Amino acid sequence: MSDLVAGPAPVEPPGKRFNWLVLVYVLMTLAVIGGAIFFVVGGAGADPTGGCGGG
Amino acid sequence: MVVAEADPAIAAGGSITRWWLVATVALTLSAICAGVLLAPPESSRVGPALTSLLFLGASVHVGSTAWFYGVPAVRCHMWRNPKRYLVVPAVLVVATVAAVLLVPRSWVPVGLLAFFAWQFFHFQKQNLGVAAIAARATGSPSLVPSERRAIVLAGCGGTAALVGRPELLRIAEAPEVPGLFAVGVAVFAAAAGYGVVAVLSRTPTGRSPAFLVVYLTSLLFFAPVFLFDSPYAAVAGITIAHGLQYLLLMGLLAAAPNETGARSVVGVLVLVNVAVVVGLGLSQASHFHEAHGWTRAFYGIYLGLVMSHFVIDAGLWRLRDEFPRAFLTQRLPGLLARRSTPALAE
Repeated sequence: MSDLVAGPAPVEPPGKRFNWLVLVYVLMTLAVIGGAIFFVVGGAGADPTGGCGGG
Repeated sequence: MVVAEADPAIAAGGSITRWWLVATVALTLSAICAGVLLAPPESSRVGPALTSLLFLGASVHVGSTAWFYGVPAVRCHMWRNPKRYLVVPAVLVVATVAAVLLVPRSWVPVGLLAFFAWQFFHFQKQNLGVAAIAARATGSPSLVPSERRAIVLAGCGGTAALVGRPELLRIAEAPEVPGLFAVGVAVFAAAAGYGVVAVLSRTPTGRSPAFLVVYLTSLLFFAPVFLFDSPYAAVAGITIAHGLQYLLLMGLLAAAPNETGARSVVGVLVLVNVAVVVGLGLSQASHFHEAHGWTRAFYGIYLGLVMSHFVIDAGLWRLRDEFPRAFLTQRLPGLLARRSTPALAE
């Protein structure tokens, strides 16, 4: 009964909510790129074709 | 940029068209310049800048193909066509692992020459696709057979030249085919001349300046192979350029609204994560080429997955087929939705 009187709870517009998912993805992306730079630049170098296909 | 802004055909296409055309040409030319400028002197180690660019242009671009497997519509298409998207990749990986483990090492250079011949042909097929998209995006008439033939032939010339000079690919102990480089030079020069004549024989309204720049960039893509003796100046630049062209299109696909109409920055972040993680795995696996024992299998997996990328790409970007045409046009309407040219409208 009291629900009928009070009406539905106000819904926050989705655009105003902080999107934690995006933050998680951004942090993950930065970590992945940082790790890749660490491995690749500190690694054995690269052939002109990329990788080490030619040896 | 000036060409793109001054071109009425592009003005009609919107900002995405202008942005893609400028970015494609700029990335291609700057990658080739980077290969030349950052090429290390002989016997020196390649520096971190060129190593990073090669990682991006080679391994990361191949790794980004894995993103397609996460798109529901593409996955359905793959299940309906298991031969190209599941069976052939699996067979390529298994066969290459078996080859690197079982075949005598003296045979490997010949196998690598065949692998690179396929890779450079794949480069030129992408250049053909880029020129075709440029024609569509600028509202120019589609490429005619002579224009297409010229691009493919120029790529064959570049590929023949590279196979004829395996030191440019840094393949140790590869057999040299006498005269093959000269044949490559002749084929490339003839194809370049043929292509220029073909494209200039369009009506003035059918050859917008932006389309012409993209077409000529595609036609002359392999020019560094004939101009430089350094493997990095000759080959690294075109390798990076190929990868950046691809990543640009993949980025646009990931950023585009999906089937539900939602556009999300998460889509691009997912693509970056998938591409870098898979690319890192590929890059690390490629270093096992000198390994002994079963760990050499990682090198076979690397080669097999790169060849799978050639096969998957050849299917998913094939605009003559119904699904790729519908999927790509829905995601990239600014580039692929057909517009009539002033010439056709008259």
